[in-house]
This record gives sequence, structure tokens and C-alpha cells, in this order.
Amino acid sequence: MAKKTTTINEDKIIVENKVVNTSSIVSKVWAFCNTLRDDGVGYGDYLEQLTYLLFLKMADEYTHPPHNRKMPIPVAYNWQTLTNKTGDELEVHYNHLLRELAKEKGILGQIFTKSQNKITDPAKLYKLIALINAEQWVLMGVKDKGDIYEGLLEKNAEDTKSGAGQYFTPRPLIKAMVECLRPQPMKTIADPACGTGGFFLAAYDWMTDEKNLSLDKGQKQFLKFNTFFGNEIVASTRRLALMNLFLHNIGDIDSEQVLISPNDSLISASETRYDYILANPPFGKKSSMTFTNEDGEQEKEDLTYNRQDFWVTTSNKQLNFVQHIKSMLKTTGQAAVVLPDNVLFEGGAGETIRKKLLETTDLHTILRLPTGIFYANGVKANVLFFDGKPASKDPWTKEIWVYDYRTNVHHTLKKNPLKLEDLRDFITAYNPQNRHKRNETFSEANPEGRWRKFTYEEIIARDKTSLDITWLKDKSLADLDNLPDPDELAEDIVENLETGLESFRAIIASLNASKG
Amino acid sequence: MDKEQRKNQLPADWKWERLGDIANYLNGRAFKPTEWELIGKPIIRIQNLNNPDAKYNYTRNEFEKKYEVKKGDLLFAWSASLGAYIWKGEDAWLNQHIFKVVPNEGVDKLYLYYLLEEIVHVLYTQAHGSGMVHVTKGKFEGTHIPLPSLSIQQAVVSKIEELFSELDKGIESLRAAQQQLKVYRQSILKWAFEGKLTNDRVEEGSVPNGWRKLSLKELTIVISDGDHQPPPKSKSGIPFITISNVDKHSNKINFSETFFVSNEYYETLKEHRKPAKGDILYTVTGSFGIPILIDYDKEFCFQRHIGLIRPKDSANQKWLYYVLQSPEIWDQAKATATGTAQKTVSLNSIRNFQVPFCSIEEQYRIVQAIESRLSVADKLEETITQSLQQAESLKQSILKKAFEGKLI
Repeated sequence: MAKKTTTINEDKIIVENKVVNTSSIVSKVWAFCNTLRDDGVGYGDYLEQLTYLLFLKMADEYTHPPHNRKMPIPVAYNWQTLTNKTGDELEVHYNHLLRELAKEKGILGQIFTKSQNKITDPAKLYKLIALINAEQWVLMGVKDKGDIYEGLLEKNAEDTKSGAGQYFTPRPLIKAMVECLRPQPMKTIADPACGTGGFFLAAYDWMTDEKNLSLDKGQKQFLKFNTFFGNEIVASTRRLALMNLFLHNIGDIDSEQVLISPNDSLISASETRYDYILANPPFGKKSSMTFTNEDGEQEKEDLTYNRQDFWVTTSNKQLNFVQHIKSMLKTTGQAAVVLPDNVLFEGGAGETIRKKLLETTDLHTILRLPTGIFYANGVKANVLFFDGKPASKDPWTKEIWVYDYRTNVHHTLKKNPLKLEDLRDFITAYNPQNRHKRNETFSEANPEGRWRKFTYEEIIARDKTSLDITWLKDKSLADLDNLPDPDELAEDIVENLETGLESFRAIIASLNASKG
Repeated sequence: MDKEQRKNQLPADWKWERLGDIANYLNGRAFKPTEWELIGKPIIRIQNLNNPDAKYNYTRNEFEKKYEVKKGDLLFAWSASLGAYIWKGEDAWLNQHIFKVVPNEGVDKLYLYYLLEEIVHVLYTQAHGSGMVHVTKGKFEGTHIPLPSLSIQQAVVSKIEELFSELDKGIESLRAAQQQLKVYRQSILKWAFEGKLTNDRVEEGSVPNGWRKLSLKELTIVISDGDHQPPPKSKSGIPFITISNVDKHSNKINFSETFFVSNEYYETLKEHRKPAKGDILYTVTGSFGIPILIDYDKEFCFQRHIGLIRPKDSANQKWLYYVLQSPEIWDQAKATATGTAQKTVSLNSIRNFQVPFCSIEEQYRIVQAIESRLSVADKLEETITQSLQQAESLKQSILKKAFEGKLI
């Protein structure tokens, strides 16, 4: 407990010492990243090494005045041991250090799990160490060092070859979802597929913004140590998440409590129920795992999760996440989840799950997202907002409000990326302060209105209880008097073809799975 | 594959039953036209099942309960056009040539529905092309079908619906892309003749430097139409084109099914009624506004419902052909067309079409720019059309697999 109090005080130190010039550091970090890229070290690899080294450097800083904290890092592998070596000696020691620290407990071991040195040139490694060594990181503003890291994560996501972007939720979307939920102090927030921790950061930022909340000491303490719980099965991504949270002042360098579990969250029911769930489960429909068979060949097997608490057994990963998220939500909890269209229209298991979701939760809002905002191609996604409810005979969902931010909306990752401003109209319509008081913008007089209410009866009468609802006229299809630009149309065509491809790929996967 | 083989390849716990033994098939009633009314309960006829826009007949009379159809009932049309349907409308009466299918206990209605869908396909294949298929009740009820336990039936249905919903979505995306390609075509032409494909910056509402508007007659040697006299038809000789030989999707003449006129008649025609390489034909009556590029040497003549446009040297033939396809010219054609049933654009209005004109070099560059884009669009459209057909086959092949017990 005493330790944690110190940390709170340190926040003040950081604020007071804001004279540190961070912009030069940012540019140095970036410049070095570019140097390494010329050597074939990608953003992902660079980030990974940066994570190890930054962690050790900051731990080292904490052992000195004014902190004088005792850190759990073995002396033989602390920061100092890296700064007095060069060449082969440095490389050998660094490799050894990575392996050994992976065996440690708590956040330390988590950060170094499956760690590997990806910088093969010891001279470059030496330079990177020197670069980090020259700065006082702990003194740097939380926002600055956090932003450096988030910036690198985003760059990494853009690096399409690595595939890292597949799971990267656009930050403006995350912020909008948090603004709608308005997470309150002393409550828990979970993300069962947390990636690099984007939702946690956005929630943290929102809650520590004095325009929104003013937190007392206990509430700040709770926010830092007891609010966030995530799962991330990919070791390297989990490491990035932990570092990202830590640099943003969530959790602590020497805390033993693990904020992010390495377990597959779908395997078993969560022991805890949470107040808020914010998530964007990974895209790609199938749950599968690769294993080596008796003949030493790689085989892929379908994963169906035999969960007693699930409404229906399916190998559709997205549908399983919906069921899981429902199961981990408190009866007073709120969820906002990014899900692809197939969850809205898919027959069979999908239909059962939609019906159950409407009955057992209050599924009150659907935000239809445009294409061109995700790093994965051909993905059409939505945000589903639903509230947990106690058991009841009557369905909890009374009406669903749909906001169509897709029809005639054009975003591209580079030329016209999604901004928080683009979602401002939705947030206003959502009315976060009191979501029970809302006004439709759609009406017979205004058929172009994007915000429309549907009753439970209307929804349940739809074929397969499909929630894939559109009413706006697509200008790229009909309006010859008002022709869109050819390049805009060409992009629409590409998107439709990509979406079509995804559908047919999903069918192939589903048919292959049933060969048994 | 014969029946015995199909039966033997089924999973061990699947039974091989007759359609007649798993459900009751209640034929609809032969309603008389005198019983039809404009109000009351709708009468479901086959056209109401396979065409959502077909009109219903109604009746206020009451009939036997077995003719009554409720929402969710399984129907099977067994004459003329075969097909299984789940009724989604209000309470109604059933006309003859349609069965109301009432499954026995232990038989899932949707399982039977998809099964009938598959059988229909097989029956059609066996009927060799002729659209009219008629199934006798005896033959129908004697058809052997695979039947697993109720829980497996339900699992099969669930899997089919999962796959079909995804498939329908895929088809919907392809259709949307197909539709957008048509708009894309128009959009490219619009841009081309606003100068946007060949000039860097064109302010909205203005034309690029050196561009001006001309009437079509200033760009042409002659604008005429075909012979107004009925042509003396002959068994062979020179092809004579009517508007029905024009394919409006490809803007091409289909020479395979044309009339012929004699050489002697052709020779008597004036030069401006004989299409030559370099001319553009333009339909003027009925489906008006379709330009056809004559970029080949071939002797033929045409009906008066088609116009002939012979460009001057200052107008590139292909350029003019694309101009005539552009939304700008189409709007002018629409605005000046007269008549009600058979709309006609007069030669005079064609002569006065206002055309955006630029140098012959730029015309050539415009043609290049248009064609490089449209060729890609054409190829893509072809691919999509083919994919859509394959998607239909995929549906059938999924059903086949399902009833071989291989889907789950």
C-alpha cells in the first residue's frame, strides 16, 4: 500500500518537472526507428526491443533518488549491465538477459515472455541503448512518453505486411465509444481481446480528464490498480499492451498483479463480472488452432468452445465473443463492442444468439461503421451497445436505435482517415448524459436522416431477426443525376468486391470445417 | 448416382424414407374466377409465390380448413414451375397445383423445406430444359429422401442457414458492385467531357482552356436516317438492320438474325443511307439514344428508326461515339424526345445537340483515357456476372452436400 502512495506522489513530480523537452526525444526515437528499418528491422521488432530497454531503464531510474525504490530486477540483468558493454559481448549478454528475465514473476516476466533480440547488429543495439540512456524517462510527462509509444503502435499497425494492423481499432472510434459509455469511478472495465490496450487508455484518459470527472485519491488509486482487466493471447501484443498501459501510468513497474491475462478468454467463463466491457474481438470468422499431428504435419482444427453458459455452440469466433461478453457483464453493466456485419445477419447460430441477446440484455444502440477505417480489407463492422440485465420473463430490449454512419460515407486510411469529429454527430444523437432521451433524425419528411428507432416487434418480425438494417439511398447505386466522382465509385466497387470475397472465403472455411 | 448408391452412402444413423411417409400434402382448391373478389382473404396462386409483385385475387367466402394457409406454413408448387416456399404473408387460401405440406412429428419443417428445394432442382435437371414440369402426387410421394434424427435435422438446417446467409450477403455485395460499375461508366464519361480526364484542374461548372460548345451538325458531314420505304425483303443479300438487332448493353449490332435485302435495292440507296466505316449509328425511336460505332468495313443498310452520323475530320469517330453515350447528351436526347408510346428523337434535335468540343489531339487523349478505364470495368463486369452464376450453383451444391449427410 505504501508503495502505491509513493507512485501517486510521483505523478506530481512528473507534472512539476514538465520542463523536460520531449519533442527532441520523440524525433530521436523516430529517427532511430527509420535507421533500423533500413536494416530490415520493422516497426514491430523495433517496438519490441524498445519495450525491453525502456522498461529496464525506467526501473533503473526508480532505484535512484528521489524515488529510491527497490525494483524486482536481478542485479545481474539490470540496466547498468547493458551500458558498459559493446560488440559481441553486448549481444551475448542481451540475449541471455532476455531469456532470464522471462522467468521472473509479475509484470516483469510478462514483459519478457518469449522475448528475443531482433537487432542483429550489436553496433545498432549499442546506439539504441545509448539513446535511451541519455534521457530521464520517468521524469518525462506521462502523456508525452505514452504518446511516443502509441504513435509507434499506430505506425506498426500501418505496416500492413506485418499484419499487426488487423486488430488495431481506430483510436477515434474507441474514444467515441468511451464518450458514449462515460465510465464512472470505482468500477471495473474489461476487454477480453485487448490488443495493445487502446480501450483501456481511452477510458483512462476520459476518466482523468477534469472536464469529465474529478477523482479523489482513492478513486485515482482504484483507477490505476483495480479498474482494468484484459486478455491477450499473443505474447508480443500482450507485451506491447502492458508497456503501453505502464507508460500511461496504469499499473506499475513492480506490481505483481497481472492486468492482462495470457489466456484465451473464450475457453472458460470469466470468474468475475465487470461493470463495463469495451472490446473489438479479432476479425476473421473462424476459431481454429494449429497443431502438429502424429506424422509431424501441421493441421488446423476447428475450435468449438464447449461452454455450458453459452446459448449455442458455434465455431464462429465473433459469435462466441458475443456470448462470452454477455456472460462476463454485470446485470448492471454496460457493453460496447465492435462486431462485423455477419453477427448482424448470419442465420443458424447467429439468429439464436441475436434473439437471446435481445431477450436477456437491453441492446439499445447500433452504430453502423463505414468501410475504409480498418486495416483489414473488406470489413464492414458495427458497434453494438447493450446493457446487462437481471433474469426476466419478458425481453429486455424494447427498442433499438440505429445510426447509419456508412451509407454514402467515404473514409480511407491515408487520404481521409476517420476522426473523432466525424463521430461527433453520433455521440450527440446517442445522448450519453441520458440515453433514454433521444430524437430521431429520420422521418418521412427527412428520409436522409441517419438516426432511426426500431421497436422490438419490428426487429423480431424481420427475417432471421436480422439486425443488418439500412434505409438510406446509396448514391453510388442509383442517382445518375448526381454522379459521384469516378475514383470514389471505384473505391466503393473495390470495397464491395472485397466484402464479397470475405463472404465467399467464410463459406469455404465453414464448408472445410464440416468435412470433419 | 442411383437411389441404392445414394442410400448406401448416407451416414449409418440416417434413414431412407419416402416423401409420402414423412408429411401430408394437401392440395389447394380449384377456385373459380366467379369466386374472386377485390377484398377478403388473398388466394395464393403459383405466380404469387414466384413473383412478389404479382397481384392477388381475394375472396370473402369461407372454405374448408385444409385450404387455409397461415404465416410460416410450408408450401410446394407442383405444376408449371416447381418450388418450395415458406409462406410469409397474412392468412390466406390455397389455390390448386400447390400443396400445403404438413410434416409428421419428428420432421423439422425447415429441413423438409430445404430438402424439397433440392429435389426441385433435381427434377428440373431431369426435365431437360422444358420449363413446364408437372409432378404427379404418386410419383412425388414415392420419392426417396434421407432423414436423420430430429436434432440432426435441426443442426443441418442451422448449418444451411448459416452458409446461405453468408452466401446471400456475398451475392448482394457482388450485385452492388455490378450496379456501381454501370454508374462508374457514366461517371467516367461525364468526367471525360468536362475535361477532367485530360486537364489537371477544372473548376466546377467551367470548361478547360480551348474547349467550347458546338452543335453536332457543325462536326458532321451528314446526319440522316434509314430508308423510309418498307424494304423489299430477300432471303439473302445485304443485311438490313432494325432496332431489334441492336444490343443496348454492348452498343453493338447483332448480325446473326437480320433481314436481308437484294444487292440491287442496296445499290439504289443514297450514299448517306449506306453506313460506312467511320460512321456512328444512333437509335432514334423506341429505345432511343444508343450510339453504335461502325469501325469495320461491311455492307449493310438500316431502318428509319436508326440515325446515321458521319463525322467531319475535325471530330474523332470514337470520341464522338463516347460523347453520344455521355450523360450530357443523353439528357438532351431525353429532353427533346417526342411521342408517348414510341418516343422519337428527331434528326433536327440531334443536329442541334450541344457538344463539348476540343482539339483533335485532346479528343484522341480523351478516348485513350476513357478506354483504359472502361476496359477494366468491362472485364470486371464479366467476372462478376460469372461469379453470380457460380454462386447460384454453390447454393445447390451446398444443399446436395447437406442431404448426403456431409455438411455436418
